[in-house]
Amino acid sequence: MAEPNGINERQRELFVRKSARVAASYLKRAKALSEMPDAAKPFFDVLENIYIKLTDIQKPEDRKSIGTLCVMVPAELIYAAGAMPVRLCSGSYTAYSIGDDYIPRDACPLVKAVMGFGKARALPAFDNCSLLIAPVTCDCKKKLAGVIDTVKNTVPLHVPPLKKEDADTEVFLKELYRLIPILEKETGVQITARSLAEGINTVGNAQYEMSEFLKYRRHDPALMSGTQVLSVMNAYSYMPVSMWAKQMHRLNGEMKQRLEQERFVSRKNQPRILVTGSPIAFPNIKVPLLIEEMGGVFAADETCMGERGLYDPVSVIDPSFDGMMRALASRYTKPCTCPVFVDNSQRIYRIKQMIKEHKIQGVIYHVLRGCLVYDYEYQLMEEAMGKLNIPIIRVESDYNEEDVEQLRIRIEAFIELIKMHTSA
Amino acid sequence: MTSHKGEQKRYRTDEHGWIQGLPNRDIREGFTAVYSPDGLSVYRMHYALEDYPYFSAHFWKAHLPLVVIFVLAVIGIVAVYLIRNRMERNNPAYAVYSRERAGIYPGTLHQKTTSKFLFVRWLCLFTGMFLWTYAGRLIHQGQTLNEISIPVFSCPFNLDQVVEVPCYYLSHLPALFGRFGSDFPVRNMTYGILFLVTTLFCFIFLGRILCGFLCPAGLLQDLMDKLRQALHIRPIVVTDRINRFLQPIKWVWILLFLGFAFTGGDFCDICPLKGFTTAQGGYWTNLYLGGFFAVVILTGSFFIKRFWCIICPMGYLMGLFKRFNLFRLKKDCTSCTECGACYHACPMRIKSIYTEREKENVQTVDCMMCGECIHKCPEDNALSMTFCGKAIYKSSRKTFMSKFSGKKE
Repeated sequence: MAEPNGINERQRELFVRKSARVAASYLKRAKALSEMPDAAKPFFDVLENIYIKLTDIQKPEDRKSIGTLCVMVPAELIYAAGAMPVRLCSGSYTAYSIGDDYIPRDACPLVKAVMGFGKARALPAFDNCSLLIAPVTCDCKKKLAGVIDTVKNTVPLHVPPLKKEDADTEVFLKELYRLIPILEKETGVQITARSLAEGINTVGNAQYEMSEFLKYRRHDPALMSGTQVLSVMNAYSYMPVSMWAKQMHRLNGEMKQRLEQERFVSRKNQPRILVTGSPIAFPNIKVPLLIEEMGGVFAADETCMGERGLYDPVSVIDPSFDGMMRALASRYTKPCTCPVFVDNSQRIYRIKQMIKEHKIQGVIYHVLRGCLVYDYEYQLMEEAMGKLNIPIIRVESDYNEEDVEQLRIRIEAFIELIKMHTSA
Repeated sequence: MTSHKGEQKRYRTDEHGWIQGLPNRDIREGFTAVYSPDGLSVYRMHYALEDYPYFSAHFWKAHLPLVVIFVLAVIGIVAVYLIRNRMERNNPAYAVYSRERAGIYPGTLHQKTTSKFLFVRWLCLFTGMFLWTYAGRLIHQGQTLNEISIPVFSCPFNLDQVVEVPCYYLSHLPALFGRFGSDFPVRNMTYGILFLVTTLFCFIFLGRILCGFLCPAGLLQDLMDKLRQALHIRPIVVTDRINRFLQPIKWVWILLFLGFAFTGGDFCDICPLKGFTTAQGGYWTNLYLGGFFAVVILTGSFFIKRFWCIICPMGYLMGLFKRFNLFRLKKDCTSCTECGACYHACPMRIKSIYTEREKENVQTVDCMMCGECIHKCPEDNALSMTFCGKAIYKSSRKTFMSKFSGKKE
């Protein structure tokens, strides 16, 4: 029975214990996959701190944290306001089970998990956010933005569903301008041209390290387990971007070393798999884990908690304040391959490019139960992959461990299929 | 006929009484003509063009229209700036911009990526400016290669440019037909042929790359844009809506450019650019309505990069032959992420460059090969410029991201 004011003390304790246990088991499995680079340890420590030790995010004291949901919230703007963005899309099974009581049955589990954290008040990383910026994207997120306002001060950010016309970008630009006074009021720091440029440069530095990292990620045989890479990307949500970039720089150094010493974590003939579709947020990393445990290589991901969030850089054309805002508005909508946009054919092109770059042999299309927008695009994706002669399967999962065995069988069969497909 | 050097030459007149084949230089520096129509009476005539040395009073006087244009343009720019501020203050739709934070430009924070290609382009633009203003006089006292014509803006009223420009003949088609119609075989043959061949070569094989690389009007507008950046003033962003408004203006200009002479008009009287290189060359010209348009163009190009190029009639005519151009703009559609950086960087607002997903050739009539899109493209090889099929400038993620590497600080 849902209680209006969240859960009681006993339930919270139970929640904390359960949540920590799930997170710990997944972290352990991810670490055990293959030899983990030493430089990747700080990222795992961050995930451990957030989900198991339940500490707040390590950040300078005076920085407020501001929660964000989708990839359309410009982190640059939040850093310019002297705050730190925390991406709250989570994969927590326990939070999902709490949120289940407040959100309709058919809504997607990610939204339920976010709502669950809101009600449970057990995750400091979530609770310490003074504001939540919720882009109005898919139907679930849209209604979540309205509902979660009861537990957290929420600012909905309108994302135009079309993006080809200039007028649409103007709409988003106006939304970003609207966000400025809200952020300034929250942090008490004025956003100036200088601070915005600094914000763009700090996030840009992380993107630079990421693009360096992608070069190693593309290497066949793999230099690092894909699940671990995804965990590294997930850790971005809970780290100040400069710290993340610094650790990423170290990781790049180690990748380079591995490449020189030819220390690979996969063999040459292991099938390379791309995962696309609904977000794979920690701790719900069962699909990548299963791929790698079944002998595949999780070579690339096209999901918003993975590569997509950081891939596209801001291209400032005119260095005035307005010019930078325009650059942000177009960077956060135009290259975004989120299916909430009406015409999203660019996602197929993006995946085709990734197949070429990462030497992909099979695609797993991950759909969270209730995630309609991604499910809509499966048909188009299947046709496109058919033309390329790349095998693809649709895998539907939920935030619980009941479907693991079924997933295991399907993924195992798929990997066997790719092996047959490539040897034939 | 005795030239200024004392050389004696003999010339014939044609049936209209025109003297054929007299060198430009002789006309400029003066000659003595001895003319005897019937063998009995002899007419002697001294002819000398008044030659004004640089930095003389007349030279500066010729600059006067230009100075007036610039003063009016400054007034125009201030007016536009104030009107914009006022609109933004009173209209809630513009309220988002009204908080003018743009006062400080964090110039040092924007580490610019240097591009060899863009450096070459600036170099070419300055060379072009020089060639189409004084160079002729410095080299040869007048047009040096006046049989060769290169279609960029360089006013024929300035007699000191190195080569000729077909601009006059294109805007005065009756004169062109007259020249190549009845008179062509009789008159100077080599002139006609070279003129035709070079004009057609430039139109067909080079195309609008001349706009991006050589046109002095282009340089003028680029400098206005740099001036705006130096003054820390926000540009007017040409959105679809403004572009839809500008396109009909282009068509009107093209109509006037090609057809005005047929109705007894003279395009040179309304040409907004006539005043610039002529004045710098020291030639006093009447601008008529052109002076007014010049002010509009200068004001416009301050706020909108390459404002005139968007509506330039000759540039459009040059772009028509894009499929034969040696220089081409190509796109690798698989590596494009549709981020739209190229579209925002493009001074001509060519939208198809980022929406195109099928064709390799993305060059449009408006493209003038300035390379801005390639410079701002963050994807490897997504955009490239080719010469005879060989890539000469490619977009590169490494170069793009290098400004974020943090190593410079």
